[in-house]
Amino acid sequence: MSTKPRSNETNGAVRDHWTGQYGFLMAAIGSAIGLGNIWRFPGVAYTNGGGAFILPYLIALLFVGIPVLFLDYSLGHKFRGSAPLTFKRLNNKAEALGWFQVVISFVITIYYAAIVAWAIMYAIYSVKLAWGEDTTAFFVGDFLQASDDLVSVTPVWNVGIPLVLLWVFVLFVLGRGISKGVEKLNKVFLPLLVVLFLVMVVRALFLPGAIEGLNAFFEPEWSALLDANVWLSAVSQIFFSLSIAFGIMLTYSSYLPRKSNLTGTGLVAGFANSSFEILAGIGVFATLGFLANQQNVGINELEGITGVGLSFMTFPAIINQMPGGPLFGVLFFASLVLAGITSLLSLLQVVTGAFQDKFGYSARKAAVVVGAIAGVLSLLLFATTTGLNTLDVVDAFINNVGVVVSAIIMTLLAYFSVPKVRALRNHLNMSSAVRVPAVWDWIVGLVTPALLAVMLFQAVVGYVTEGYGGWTANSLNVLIFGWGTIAVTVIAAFILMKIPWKNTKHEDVIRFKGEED
Amino acid sequence: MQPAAIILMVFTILVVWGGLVASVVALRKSDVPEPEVEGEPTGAMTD
Repeated sequence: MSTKPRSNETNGAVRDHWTGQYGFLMAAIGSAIGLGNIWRFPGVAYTNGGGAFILPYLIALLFVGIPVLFLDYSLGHKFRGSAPLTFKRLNNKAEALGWFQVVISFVITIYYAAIVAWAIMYAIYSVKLAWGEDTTAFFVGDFLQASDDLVSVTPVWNVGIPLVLLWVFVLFVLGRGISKGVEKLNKVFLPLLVVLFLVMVVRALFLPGAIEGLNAFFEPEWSALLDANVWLSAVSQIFFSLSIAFGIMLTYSSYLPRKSNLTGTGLVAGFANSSFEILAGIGVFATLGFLANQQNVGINELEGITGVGLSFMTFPAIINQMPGGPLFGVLFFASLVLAGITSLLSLLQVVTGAFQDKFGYSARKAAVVVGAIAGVLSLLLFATTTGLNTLDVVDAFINNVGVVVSAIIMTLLAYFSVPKVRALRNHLNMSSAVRVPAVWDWIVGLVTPALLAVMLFQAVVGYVTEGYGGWTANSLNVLIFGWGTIAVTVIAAFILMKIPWKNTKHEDVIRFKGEED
Repeated sequence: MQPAAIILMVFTILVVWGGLVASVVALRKSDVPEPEVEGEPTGAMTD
């Protein structure tokens, strides 16, 4: 198949496409496998029943994750547009939801890029174990120069310089378009990530204490299955890990050729994401087992086993004590960089794709416009001495409130809009080898939004009554960077919706014969 | 390792990685249907 952007014969619209199923799969899996797979899943599984967590996790994958992934695929493939165009075509009043998803993706890119920049520096530091003995003091003090002020303009060059280089790189890739940029990069980065990570995991398995680490990870605590919060954690893990329901997979699938096996590729992407997550759990807990062995303590006595703390404080401490530590460190942080860049690209494509659709920009112009704004904001907010605190609050609110609200509205909209969700199921079934059963309509339209509503309720009640991350509910950090981010996201979505469409040449909607009957 | 942990590790790997292998095989071997597309007048912004 040609890699050139093709003109739509009906109306002259020019839109780039994936060169085929393989290219799309690499990009979709690259998007799903991100930092959360490596640093979030192992800790979440461990604290929610260990081996017993696997059961709710698999059920959530099969009954929430993959069905919602199929919904994203069907919307993008049928309506042939970025999120704003797709939702406008689904329901003329729903364009704002598309822009809400676009702004959410934009907000995530500006802090996600900062974390990738940290990982770039840590891959370099690994060579000489530059973090020294006290890895926590090095990360917070020497590296990030973190302060407790609300806002600071004091630059942190350790973060700023790699961040600028990262933005130049990702925007160059995005500017080359879907087939020549995003697809080509994923075809190299994703296999490389898997190989690097496999080498790291195999090394970890031969460390003293690794077996105890695996035992802690997989040992079941069956009583956890009776705890509703454990089941919600499984839904939440699958939901955030698969990058579903906030524009990414919808945008990516809109570039699929008309003849595409939608459910087949969705199943591969879903299982590939979970396979990597399990691999990460094995690698991380084998490594934590080594640390516990060296300190002569139990795994349950270790701190910093998830998130930023795991990657930038605990792992460097382990690498210090490990034979061949520098090589292990390079493998670990290079894996974070590769996983981060492929996910960052998918988030940015949600934004640039929307600008291309609405304003008729070329891929290059959209990358420059979006990249300039995002790059400057990420430098101002996250390459300063208050970057760590800001990032922590923005990340919690935009995911636990913004993304979840977006997903609830999207699933309900798909269920109640005309053509109804049955038409989307017919669209999937008419184009795919693996058929989607009728119960899918109920799962995506009713069960999923109900589960997400419970997650949202818990998060909002927690933020309103207790605040977040040690800040009280009425502290300026929570009000400005938490609720303020959500407010800005909603306002920006409505402003973008109100701007008139400059581009009227779009790819035709795909309507298979009989799918809406 | 405890027997229960070993069993769960093997079960997880079989289900998740087995699912990946099975879905890849199914994707490669299955024929993609080519349904007829209804005529669409333009790339209209709204549907």
